[in-house]
Amino acid sequence: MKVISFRLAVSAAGLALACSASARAENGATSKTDIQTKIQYCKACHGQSGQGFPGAYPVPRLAGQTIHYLENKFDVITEHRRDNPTAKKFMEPALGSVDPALRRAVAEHFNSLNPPPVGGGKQELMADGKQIYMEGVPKANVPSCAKCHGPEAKGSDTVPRVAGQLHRYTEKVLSNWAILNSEPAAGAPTAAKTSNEHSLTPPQIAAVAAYLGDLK
Amino acid sequence: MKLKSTLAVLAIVTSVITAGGAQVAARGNDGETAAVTEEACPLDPRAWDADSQRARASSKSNRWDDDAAFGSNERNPGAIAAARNCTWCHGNSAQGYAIAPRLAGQNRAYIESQLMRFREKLRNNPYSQRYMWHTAAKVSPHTVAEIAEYFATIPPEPANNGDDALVPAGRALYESGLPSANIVACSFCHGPNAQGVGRIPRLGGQSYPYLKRRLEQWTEGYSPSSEHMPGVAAQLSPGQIDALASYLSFAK
Repeated sequence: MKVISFRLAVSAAGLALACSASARAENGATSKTDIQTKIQYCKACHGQSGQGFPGAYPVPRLAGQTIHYLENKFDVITEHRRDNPTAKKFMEPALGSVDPALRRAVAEHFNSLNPPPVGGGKQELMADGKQIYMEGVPKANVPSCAKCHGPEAKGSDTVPRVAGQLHRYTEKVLSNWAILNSEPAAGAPTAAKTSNEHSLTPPQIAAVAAYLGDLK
Repeated sequence: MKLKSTLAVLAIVTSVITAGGAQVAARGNDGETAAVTEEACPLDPRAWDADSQRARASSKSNRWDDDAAFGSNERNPGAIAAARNCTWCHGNSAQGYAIAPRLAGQNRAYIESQLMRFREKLRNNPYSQRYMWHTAAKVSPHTVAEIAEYFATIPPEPANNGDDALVPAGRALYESGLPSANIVACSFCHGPNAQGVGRIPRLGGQSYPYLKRRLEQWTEGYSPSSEHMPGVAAQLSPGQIDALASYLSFAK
């Protein structure tokens, strides 16, 4: 039996490792541990069940979000098309650190989660919020949200889920569209954009956000 | 004259030695591993009310919440409870001392939640076990709220006791994290000025050794029911913990 020197064994092992690593990269196959590590990184802020977290900034719920929307956000944010300062400062580097090959798996994971909503919106706004969500504000030409986001606010293949979203986050998004004129997806609510005839007032935004924040 | 000054020097030296001794004892053997439980945090408001009523009903047996034993304390009951029970370790001005962290200017909801976690033995690292479990054992939710209110309104002073060479690295980590190493930005939850919000604690100006120890404890498996922090701390290297704790000790 040939005696293999320690040094030879070590360098052989090193070579084997290096080869397998590059083989992984070439095949485009992604290791499970990479996905798990990345998902844990997301969950550090977005919550262990993806339910979101009311921090100094409201970290949005990802649980149950449509795969289409999550994948779209990877593109929009890493391509610098989402203008709000919070997204630029925190989410561009965060999403940029996710290997594109992992994006689908990350989106699928969060889509599969279903924790109860964080809630916490003012109870006295719920009735108004529900009415605005379901019926819009006809005299301000604001269409019904439910028409596109669904009566249970769970979205569809192309429209994001808004049920159970953190109310502070929903308020920010709706208000930001008016201020920043940043990009909602094509066909997104004109209701939220700046226009005296078409916009939701801040109290109306607060009501809708509170209502949605409690939805399972 | 000479006797007086000699006595004074002796008194000072004695108190320094005692304090130093207390510090050494405090730093004692913290190698024990606590049993780690997975219980959910029982912050049920209904339990608090019942508890508070029970405490008031049996005030003789509860040395905390007790007008009977210590006389009427209608005015600023929080300050009185704090002076009697907390400032021994946390300092007369609540700015912290040795291993006892600064409480001045801390967010009310955080102080309340931590006192209840000590009481329920959910915060289980060695210092908490040794010093805070028995301290919080009999405190009623009513008194907890008063104490928290009292400390929250005292202006905090920064400890400024970190390594200032590490401040730039610590600041960068605090503000932006390090996505390539899966380190989240602390500022996202703790705020741009490390002031915290709600139950999320203010970190700015907290003592460097305290912050460092807390980050280390989460990597050692203590207090797993803090949902976020163990995962966050697990990504940090010892050098990064050092930098963060140093930066934060100066942050206002």
